[in-house]
Amino acid sequence: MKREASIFGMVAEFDNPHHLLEGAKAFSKAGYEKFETHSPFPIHGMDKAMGLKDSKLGWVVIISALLGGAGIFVLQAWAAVIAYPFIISGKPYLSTEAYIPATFEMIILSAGFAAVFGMFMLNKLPKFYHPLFKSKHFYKASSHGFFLSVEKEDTQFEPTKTRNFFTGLGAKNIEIIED
Amino acid sequence: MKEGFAVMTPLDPTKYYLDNREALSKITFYLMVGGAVLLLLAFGGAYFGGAGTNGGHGSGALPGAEIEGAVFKAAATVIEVSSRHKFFHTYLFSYVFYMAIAIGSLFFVVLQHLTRSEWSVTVRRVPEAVLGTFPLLIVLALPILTLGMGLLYHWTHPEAVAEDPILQGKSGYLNLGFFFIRSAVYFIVFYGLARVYYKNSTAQDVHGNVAHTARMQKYSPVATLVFALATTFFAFDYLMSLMPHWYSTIWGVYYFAEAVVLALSFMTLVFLVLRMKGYLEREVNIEHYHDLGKLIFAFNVFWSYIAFSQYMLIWYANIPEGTTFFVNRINGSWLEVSVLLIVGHTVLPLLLYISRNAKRNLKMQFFITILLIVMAIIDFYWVVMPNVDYGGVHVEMVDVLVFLGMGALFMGVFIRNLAKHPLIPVKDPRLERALNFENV
Repeated sequence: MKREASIFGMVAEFDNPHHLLEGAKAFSKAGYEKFETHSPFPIHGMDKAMGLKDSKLGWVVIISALLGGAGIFVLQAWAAVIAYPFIISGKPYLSTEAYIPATFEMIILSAGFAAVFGMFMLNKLPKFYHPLFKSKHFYKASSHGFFLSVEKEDTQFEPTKTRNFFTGLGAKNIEIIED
Repeated sequence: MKEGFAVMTPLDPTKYYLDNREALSKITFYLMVGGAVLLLLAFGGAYFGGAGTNGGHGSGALPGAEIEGAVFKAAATVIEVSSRHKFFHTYLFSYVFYMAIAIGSLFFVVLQHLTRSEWSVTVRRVPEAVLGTFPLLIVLALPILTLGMGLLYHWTHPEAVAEDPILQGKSGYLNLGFFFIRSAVYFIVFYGLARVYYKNSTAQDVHGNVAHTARMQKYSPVATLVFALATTFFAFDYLMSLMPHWYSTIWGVYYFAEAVVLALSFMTLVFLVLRMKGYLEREVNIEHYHDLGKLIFAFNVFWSYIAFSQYMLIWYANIPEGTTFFVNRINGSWLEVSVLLIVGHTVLPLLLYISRNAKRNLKMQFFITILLIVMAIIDFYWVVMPNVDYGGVHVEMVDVLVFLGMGALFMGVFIRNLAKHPLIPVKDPRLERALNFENV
């Protein structure tokens, strides 16, 4: 019982990108949700095959962009109107035109940072260890292997059933991974 | 060269023609005749309706003014045209609008070959059909280059130049002879490039020879450079020299940006209309619309960026040689038009169209393309017309007549070209990749 609790999940190797795509479709159709596909390059149509929802990253980016833009705009206005009012080339203190370039650049900068670091956050990176590294075959995923892994938290996961499902799909090298 | 191309499945070209081509050829014929009639009516209103020349140039009286044809006289009583200046300014506004569709389409087609794009093969034929309108557009330039010059361009009057040191300084560039030579060069460049890209692509439909694609790719870098120069100087000459004291070095880019937004919106709208009629439902699918949407969004932001850059430098420096342009455009009701451009051309598309889901929603795309085409009309009107209607917006019947008349001619030629060839390049070597293309 103790041993049962300490496993991470199951992983298996597929022959090629197309095979993996079919496998992901079958897993999604069978009601699996907590599974991942691993391949050396992006496979077109994989998001749809896995039944993934839209990424939340877009919301992270737009909120960060708006905050960054509003922040620098308010900072400039505060500096020019309240903190250090100074007439520059006969223009009003609150000259919004002059604040636009910095606001624009700041929107882009915050959006860029949010996209990169938000992606790290959503991917749970950086991560120095993952149970899948214990697999004897998984190293191929970065060069020529196509893998599908299922976590034991998945409601559909049951070792023998999942193993049979993998076999039915024609997957090789099916392994149980310990946590 | 050849090994880079995917093996293609031959398509049946006959399935990709527009239906009812006899009816279409009749419709386009009526469009072209109707367009020509509208233009002539507007012209008659301007020249025989008792309209004077409200400017101080005094050269508006032309020999033709004495001839009073019965038809023109009847037309003139219906169409009030406040002046010949007004007629030629609105003519120029319509002209640069339709020219922008053609110029933007030329850019799109050349760009696809420059980047060896795979996704865009199925959406290339509509802009290519627009390229076939260049001969018409060259003919439509003739009224500007003959009767219109004195009424549009202050620098064409020797007595005005004689008392104006700034115009004297510019007379090496802004003189009639050189203007005509430059115009000829632009038209040769535009027509030549359009012909190369249209003929090669349609010739490939017959035999599927890969050499056509190779040739178009080979010419594309030079074509891009020549195109950029011709577009920039076309905008300088035809639009910026309306205010010969004023200059803005970014002007060519401003015109180019609007032209690309307009051409992309126009071609996307044509594809959406074709889709409603049941054409190209698989060939131009949501992935292609998504990419077109991305380009429209990007170039619209680019237009806003350029428009603001131009405005901000002039605002910051605040010296008369720059500000005259904007002073004329905040006079009276032009201010509201300027604000409308900021809201409708920049803010609204940015908010509505930034999301991926919006770009993949064809109803939204339909709305955005129409919005941006309307905004392009307003933008060009805002660029040209304050030079004649100083105090505020003054839309007359003649504005509508000339715009619709030229539009009917343009659409007539465009639909004719579209019906002549299959709606997609059926034997392009990259067609297979375009059909199966997906956004990651």
